[in-house]
Amino acid sequence: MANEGAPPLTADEAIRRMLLTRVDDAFRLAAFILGDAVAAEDLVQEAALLAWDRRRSLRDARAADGWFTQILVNLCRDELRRRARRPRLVALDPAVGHGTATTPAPASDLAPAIARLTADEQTLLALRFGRQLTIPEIAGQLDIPEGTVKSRLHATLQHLRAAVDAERRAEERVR
Amino acid sequence: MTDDDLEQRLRSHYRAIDPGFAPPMVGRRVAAALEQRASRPMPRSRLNRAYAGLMAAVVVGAIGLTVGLTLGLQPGGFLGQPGSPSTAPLAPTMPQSPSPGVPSSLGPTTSPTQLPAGPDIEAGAMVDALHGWAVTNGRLWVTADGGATWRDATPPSGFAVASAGYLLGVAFADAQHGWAAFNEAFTSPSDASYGRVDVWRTADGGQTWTKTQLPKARFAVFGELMPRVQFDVLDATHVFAFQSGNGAKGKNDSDLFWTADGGGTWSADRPTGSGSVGIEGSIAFATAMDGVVVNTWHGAGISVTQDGGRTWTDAAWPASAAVSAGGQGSFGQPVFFGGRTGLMTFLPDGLVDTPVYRTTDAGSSWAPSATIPAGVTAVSFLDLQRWIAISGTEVFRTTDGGQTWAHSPAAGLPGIPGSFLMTDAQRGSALASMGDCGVIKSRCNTRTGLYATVDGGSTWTQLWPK
Repeated sequence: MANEGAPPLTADEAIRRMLLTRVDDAFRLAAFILGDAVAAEDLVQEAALLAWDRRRSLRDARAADGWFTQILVNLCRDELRRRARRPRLVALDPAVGHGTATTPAPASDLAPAIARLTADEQTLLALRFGRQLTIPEIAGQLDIPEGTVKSRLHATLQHLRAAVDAERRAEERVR
Repeated sequence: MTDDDLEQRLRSHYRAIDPGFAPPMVGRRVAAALEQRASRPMPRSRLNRAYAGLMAAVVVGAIGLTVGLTLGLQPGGFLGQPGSPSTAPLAPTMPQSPSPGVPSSLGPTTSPTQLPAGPDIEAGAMVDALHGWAVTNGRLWVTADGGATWRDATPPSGFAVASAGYLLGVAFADAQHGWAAFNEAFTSPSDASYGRVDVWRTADGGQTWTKTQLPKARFAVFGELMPRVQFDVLDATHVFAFQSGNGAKGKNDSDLFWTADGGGTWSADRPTGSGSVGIEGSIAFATAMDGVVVNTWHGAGISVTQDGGRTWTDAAWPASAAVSAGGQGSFGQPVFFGGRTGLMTFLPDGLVDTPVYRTTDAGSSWAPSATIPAGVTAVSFLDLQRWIAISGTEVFRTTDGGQTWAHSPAAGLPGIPGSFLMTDAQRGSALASMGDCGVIKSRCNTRTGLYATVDGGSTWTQLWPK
């Protein structure tokens, strides 16, 4: 509404402005999904460029926010999938005498268990418990039915519970 | 650990990793990257998974369009793309990888009615003076009386399956032969149907439909976000189906399929590249072997094939002055006549003349042919010489390939059409925005209407909404 009375923006300019105003939200969401603020910075830029390139595919200006979020979420899922395929880099620490992952220390005790989940599951958790979206909002973002969101969320929590147990058993073995 | 405990731990976890606002550098990086990207020529429909109607029109230019029109009714984009009315002999039938058909099913047989009230018309066109189709309110409708009444012709399991019945594309070759693509129903990613595409075909104007499954795509494997299917119709039996742009992957890729029996069987996937370096854009085939993808990121933005899409090379294209000067632009949909000769517009951003390019080698090379007057946003090529263009308030006609133009007032259109098709010199249809969304905002009353003309574009009648 702020622009009412002003000359209409061109479509491209409107998209550009929308992308710039979404940087903060996008960054936060990407960080939730990736668990990595540095990677989130890159992803936000990549998503903005991709959205710009795909701006002609946006059918309804009213859906611009959700459209951009969907692009961002998809990129995040791709990144998680890439990570899952990559072998973990492990550097030997002579002082300790066994391998230590070079990845940053987990921010919470749930992080290793979450990392065991699939990219889709990690994304779902980030949307629900990080971004604190409702089921209908998640369904809109992922373009899937609400019922599917519910069932996947239920399954994801079960998988997470199993992953937490697996992490605990792994820690006990190390001790 | 109870569910509540687990959910509480999850919330604590995400609170712990919440980064808050983005560092200022991120915004600056994004702004700079966008500015740099904006200086490149814009592949217009590289990512448009267009509903490909049978349209011998090329809709050009987003010049001066409002956000609502441009985003909601992207010229030549989401709405129907022109087909390729080729009359050239087709190449020999290519090897087919059988994809068994599914027993025929009867479609809806509801009585004709007016188009229902709905949020918008999403796509549609008149195929001839009497017959046309429209997608609105989640259904496919056809008319046989010039738009006076419409019949629900939605394929049996099409839109009805709310969980998966996403319409991916529609095309009609004539009043009888049409195709509609849907992503197949699935309940979980482990389902065999996940990421698969059903193509329903009709040979009786939507009275009955038969389903065939496209062979498995190489790249488009994410069922929730299937790319649109662009149908490129050579005739009632020879059709390409092109899935370009995979939103789930965020990378370039596309998949091409071909039928020589009207959609009974489809060739195996012909991916346009390996890994994530495929060619995205809009296809237009001159023959079963010769075709182009325009608005790609390859070369000047046009890729050409001479073997039915198995291999692609960059086409030769002389940049227009606008692009040479660093401006933006995009290609309109190529239209081929007589097999190897075709026309295509280049749409520079800004109020400058729109150049028309011509090829005589099925898209391998293009040369400037003429220009369309500044401010004209849509043109329909009837043949190599006769073109009709619309500015919203005026109609322009040429009979000498754009060398000279005559113009006269056009009445009845609410504004610049976002999609425009003339089926002959007198009859045609257009989709145009009836509202005005000047900026992105939550309350936007833009609505799209379907209009028809029977006098060469001078006057237009609103077919939808009634």
